[in-house]
Amino acid sequence: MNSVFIITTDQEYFNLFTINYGHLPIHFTWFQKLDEIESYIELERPVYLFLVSDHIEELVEWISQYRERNLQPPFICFTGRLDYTDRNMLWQSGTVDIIRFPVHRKEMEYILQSFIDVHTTPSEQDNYHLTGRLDDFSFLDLIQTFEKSGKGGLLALQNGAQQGQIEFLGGKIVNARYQEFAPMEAMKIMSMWKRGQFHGKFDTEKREDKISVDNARIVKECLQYQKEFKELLRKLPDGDQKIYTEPELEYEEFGPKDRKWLHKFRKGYSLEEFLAEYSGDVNSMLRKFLFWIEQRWLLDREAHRFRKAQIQAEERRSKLSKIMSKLFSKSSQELQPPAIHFKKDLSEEETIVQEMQMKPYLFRNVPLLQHYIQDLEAEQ
Amino acid sequence: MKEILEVPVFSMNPETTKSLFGETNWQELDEWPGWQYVFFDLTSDKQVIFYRIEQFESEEDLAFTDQLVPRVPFTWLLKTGEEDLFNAFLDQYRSRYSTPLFVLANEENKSAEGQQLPDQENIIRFNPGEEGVMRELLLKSLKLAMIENQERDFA
Repeated sequence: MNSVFIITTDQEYFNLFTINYGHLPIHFTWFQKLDEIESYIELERPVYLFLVSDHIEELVEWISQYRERNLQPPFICFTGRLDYTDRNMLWQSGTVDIIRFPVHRKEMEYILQSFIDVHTTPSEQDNYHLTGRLDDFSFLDLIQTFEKSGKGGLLALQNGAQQGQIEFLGGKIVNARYQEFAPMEAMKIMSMWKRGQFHGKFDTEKREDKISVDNARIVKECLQYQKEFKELLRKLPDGDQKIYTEPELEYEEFGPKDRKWLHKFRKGYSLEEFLAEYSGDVNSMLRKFLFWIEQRWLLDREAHRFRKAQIQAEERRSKLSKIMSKLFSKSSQELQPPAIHFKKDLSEEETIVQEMQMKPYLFRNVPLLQHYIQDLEAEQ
Repeated sequence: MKEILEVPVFSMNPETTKSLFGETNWQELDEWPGWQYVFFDLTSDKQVIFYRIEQFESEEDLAFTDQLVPRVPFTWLLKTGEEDLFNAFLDQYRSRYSTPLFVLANEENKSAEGQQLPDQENIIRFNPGEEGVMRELLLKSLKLAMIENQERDFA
C-alpha cells in the first residue's frame, strides 16, 4: 500500500480523495498542518505530500516549512486558478506538478495512477512489521504483541484526523504521545479508538521511560477508563438526544473553555455530536456534563421548553407580583418608605436633568374633547 | 367609526382602584404584558379606555407610561390616605409629565384621611355610590382638560 499525506485545512478535500479513490492502492492520511508530519514521514514513508489549498499564501507557507525541515517526499500542489507569476513561483519552489481544481474525477484518477506507478517502491513498505486496521486488532492486542516480543519499537495509531504514538522498550510501554496530553492520559484516550489505522515497527532505539508503571497497570488504567466511559454514557441522556443550556445561565461565571461548550448547547447539542467532535479526554468532559445536568445548567428538550415558558410567564407576572407585594406590605400596616423619593432642594444640575427628562404634553385633539363633552352634557 | 378617549388611571394600590371601578374585569394589554385596561361605553360611537397604573417606579414602568401619558388629554390619580406616598407620586409625576393630572378624591374617605390636598383646582371629588359617577367624573375632567388646552394654546 502506498501512502500519501494530504495537507489541507479543509477536511472536504481529504474526503474527496478517500471517497473517490478509496479503491486505489493508496493510503491517504490527513494533516492540517505541515509541521505535524515530520515524525510520521519516518514511520509511514509517504510517496507524496499533497498540498491542497485555494490560497497561494498558504501553499507558499507550507513550502517554506517543507524546505526548513528538509523533508524528503516530493510534493504536489492542488489549488485553484493561479496567475502566471504564482504558477511560476510554485514551479520554482520544486513542486512535482500543479493540479488545478476542479478536475474531473476520472482525470484525477489517471493523474494519481501516473504518479503513484512511477514512485511506488514496495520494498520500503516492508519496514512495517505490523500494519492494519484498529477494527481488526484492538488496542490491547497491539500492546500484547509488543510485550510478548520483548522488543522495542514504535506503534503509530490513527483515528480519523487524530494521530498518536506509543513507544516500547524491551516490550514495555515507555512513552505515549497524543496532542499535549501526559503519557498516561494519552494512553487512556488512544485506548478508546476503535476505528482507524495502525502501523508498528520494531527497532533497537534507546528511549527514555516516561511511564513509571508496568504494562499491566497501564492496561488496567485504560480498561478502567473505558469502563468509566460506559458508565458515564449510561447516566447521561441518549446520544442522539439534544441537550440545551438553561436559558438564564450566567455564562460569565464559567471559564472560557467551559463557556465554549455551554454555548454549543444553547441551540441543542447531542452527545453523539460531541463525541464526533471532541478528541481529548472525553471522560473528564462527560463528568463535567453530568455535573452540569445535576445542577440543571443543562436540560433536556422538554425541561428547556418548560423553563422558557416559565421565564416568559414570570416576566408577565412580575408586574402583578409587584402590586401584590405592595398590597401585602400595606395590609400588614408596615408601610415602607415611599419608593419615589422627592428631593425638595434640587441642584442646578439636577434641575437640568429633570427638565430634559420632562415629557411634553402632545394631546391637541380638542374637537374630540368637545364631542365627548357634548354627548355627556346631552345626557344630563 | 368609534371615537376613543384614553385615560390613564394612577392608583396607589388595588383597593383604591376598586373604590372607583368596583369589580371590573380588567384585560391585559397584548403589547405590554402586565398592564391592564378596560373599555367604558359612553355612547354607541364613543368609548373610553381606562388604563390601570399601580406601578410607577422602575424604568420598565416608565417605559409604558412614557408612551401613554404624553398623548392623552388628561390623567387621573386616585387619592389615597397615605400622604407621603401620595405626595411623592405627585412630585414624581410633575417632574416627568406635562399632561394635566386630576386628583380624584373619594368623599367617603374624607374624614378618615383628613384630606389635605395641595392643588385645589385639580381635585375632583366623587361619591362612589352615586349613580353616573363615572360620567360625571369624565365630564368634569374633559372640561378641565379643555381649559388646560386653551390656556396652553394661549401661552
